[in-house]
Amino acid sequence: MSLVELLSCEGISKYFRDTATLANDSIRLQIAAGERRAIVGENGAGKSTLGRILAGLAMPDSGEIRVRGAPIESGSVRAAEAAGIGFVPQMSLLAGELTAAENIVLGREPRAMGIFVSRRKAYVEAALLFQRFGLSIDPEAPVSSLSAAERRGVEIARALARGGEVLILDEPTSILSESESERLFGLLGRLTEDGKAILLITHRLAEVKRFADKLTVLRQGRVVADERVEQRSEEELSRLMARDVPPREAVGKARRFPTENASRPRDPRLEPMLELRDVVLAPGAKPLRLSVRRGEVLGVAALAGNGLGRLEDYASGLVKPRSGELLIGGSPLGEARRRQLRQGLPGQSLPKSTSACVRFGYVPSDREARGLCLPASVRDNILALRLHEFRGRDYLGGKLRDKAALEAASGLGLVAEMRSSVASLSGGTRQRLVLGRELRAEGGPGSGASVLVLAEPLQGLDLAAQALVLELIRGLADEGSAILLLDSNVEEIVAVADRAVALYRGEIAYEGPNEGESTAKRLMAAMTGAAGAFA
Amino acid sequence: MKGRTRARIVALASSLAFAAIYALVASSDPMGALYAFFVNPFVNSYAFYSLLESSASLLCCALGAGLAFRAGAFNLGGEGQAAVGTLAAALVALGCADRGLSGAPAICAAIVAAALAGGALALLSAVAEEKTGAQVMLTSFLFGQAAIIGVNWAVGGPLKDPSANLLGMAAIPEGLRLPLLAPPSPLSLAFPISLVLAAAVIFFTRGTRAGVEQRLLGKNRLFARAAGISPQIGAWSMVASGALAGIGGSFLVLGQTGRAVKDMTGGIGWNGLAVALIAGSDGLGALPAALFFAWLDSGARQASILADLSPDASAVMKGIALLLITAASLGSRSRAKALHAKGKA
Repeated sequence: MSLVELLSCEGISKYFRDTATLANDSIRLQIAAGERRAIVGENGAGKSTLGRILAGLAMPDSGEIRVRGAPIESGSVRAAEAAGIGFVPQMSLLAGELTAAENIVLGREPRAMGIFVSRRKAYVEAALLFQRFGLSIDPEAPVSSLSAAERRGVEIARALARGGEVLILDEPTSILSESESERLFGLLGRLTEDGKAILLITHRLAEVKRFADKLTVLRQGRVVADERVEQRSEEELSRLMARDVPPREAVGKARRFPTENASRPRDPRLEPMLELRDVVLAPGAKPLRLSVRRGEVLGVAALAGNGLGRLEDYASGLVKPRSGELLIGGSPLGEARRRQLRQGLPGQSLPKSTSACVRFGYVPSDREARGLCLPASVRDNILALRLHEFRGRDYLGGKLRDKAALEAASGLGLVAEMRSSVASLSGGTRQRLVLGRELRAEGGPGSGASVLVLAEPLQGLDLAAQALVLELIRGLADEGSAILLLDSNVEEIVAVADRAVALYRGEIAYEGPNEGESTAKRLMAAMTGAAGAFA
Repeated sequence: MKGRTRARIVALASSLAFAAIYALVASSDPMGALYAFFVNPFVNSYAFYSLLESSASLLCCALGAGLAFRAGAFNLGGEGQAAVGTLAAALVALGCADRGLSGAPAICAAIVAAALAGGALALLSAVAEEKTGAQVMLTSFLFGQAAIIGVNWAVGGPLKDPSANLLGMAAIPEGLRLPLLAPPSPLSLAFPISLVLAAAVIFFTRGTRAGVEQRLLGKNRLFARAAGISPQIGAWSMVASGALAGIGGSFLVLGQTGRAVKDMTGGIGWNGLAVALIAGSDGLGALPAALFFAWLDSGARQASILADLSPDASAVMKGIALLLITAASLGSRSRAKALHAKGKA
């Protein structure tokens, strides 16, 4: 044991009986003070499980966790916290109604006269903490009013306020925009200079290269590499992480898209398939107009709070804009027609020229609320848009529906028991389910030219799956689908879009054809309000 | 699902054990009370047939409550919907009698009227939700309570039978009542009809597209909306729920009692909710659960007649059963939640 070693674990194993998976298999890990270590791996590699075990949120089947050489009780959050292990989970656990300061002191509120909760002391403590770590967050602001990055900041501050010496962050950037991620890494960097150790759980290799100095690669619950970051290239790493698909080729293909697209001829006579006319995305913002043609991917990038969510609501037809309108295939999309298109019913209300457009796919950014019915079966979730394809008999027996669902599932490599609930699936598998259903990789009846609204389609996917999805999106567009891609990650837009738009404060700050790297720079500048720099 | 069923059965068995302990403690003739409670309802054919008859109304209310649950609507107005059902059935039956009509068509008309009345009352809540976003749970309760007051006023006031010394409407003539199946016991056609309705509900929920849509809507409204599933299925579920409660009410009038009297629903709407909860909103589970509740009632009644157990005993036992069932279902839900959390990891 080195003198500066903060946290170590040995022989950590965890088996999930219900899903028959060995999530962690004799894992050994050592983190020194001031170390920036990344834990990388595909979805389902056991990263989050390891993080939860270290934080005392899950009980390992075997193994020992030591802090500064002294073993701590496993499976106890209290023991982990007392030993200085702070955990920032992937999904925010803050109480939205309470203020930032109240969240920070939650559970150990400072007292006035030993009895009353002292708000003043809480605010002072929070303000000092924020100041110390260079966070410009108002301690009195309710957490629900903070941006995603600020909420992350509060969570980190909360972990540190509890005396965190080792900070474990589970996919901290999954809900952050690029500049917000940058700020987060800046903060984490300062913390390591103070002697804290950071354990970053991620599957974004760019982040690893950007931030970490050491890394641990997990594959199917085992440590397959434990070394310094600079020893491996991104390609080597992705190969190490991959289970069966050789991702190098897939990723390479996806990355080649922009150059191919730029020169791809487009038929200008084609009518727009999806059109938003004169909608207002933010109070006081200028009305905006967007249209996506057949065979085109329009990428829209924006930072959180700049109208991307509103745009998603309007483009999906779920919220009727107060001004302006949404047109699909040239005619307005009312609620009845939206339902008809979503369910892939042959519509009489469609104009002849767009009769081929029988599908309206929508991948919501909030997958669990809008994209999935967690308590329902995998089968019912997969077939939710194809209910009319089955007759009365099929509903009675269910075998035909099982078969159809199984066929559809194989499209995106989804392995799951068709009648078990979606809630029992892992996060990555849930993402695949939504994408598989909406993009309908299977080519079943009703597939083909369609209108797709995809919000953050790559969120929560590992590299191999990301490459597959990008390829799928491109393929669908090439077959004639009109695709609106709403994404806070510029890289993803540049990888697949024909045209790109950046939103800033609800208005279009940049619009142009996708020309790869230069477009990425323009988008980044435009979405942060610095468009002038590239004009 | 299997675990949940097992938990429910264990809860039911323990509530029976509690019932036995209660009977032992509260009665001066403990063995007699136990016999009257547990054995008598099954060996005495009159008692057994009464048990079946009283389970019919309960089953209808439970099927209704379950249908609304499945669509994500908490219909707390079952009691009121059953009450308007009693009034509508009595009005139509007496109207038919005035015109000299009787037999199957007239009885059917009375039942249909009860279903329409119950359905219409439930529709109010569905419409209120659609138009103003008012919560079904609140409005159905409020509309239901108002309806009970209205029905009691009508039955005990303007519609009261002046010739009878009873707060109720005139007796329904023999030819307009549901035929008795095993006289002199009160078992009538109501029981087989309730079984047919249960079969229909099971078929709807398990074997139709609308049943799948209803389930998806009930479990995640946002998802159902995004997927293009019509929210109308929720409104129709409410209407069907109210109609079933109304039919349950009509069975009381056209069967056992033979007339509409004040406060005649006597809690079947609420008991129906409890039965639906025990059955997990499942049509198949509703039948045994309704029989179980009817048994608790019947057993407690027998024990109070034969062995001086307090007549309130059945309420206590039903309360215990409900408590245990709720605990069991909460237990299985927290296990499901744990599984869910693990899925995320």
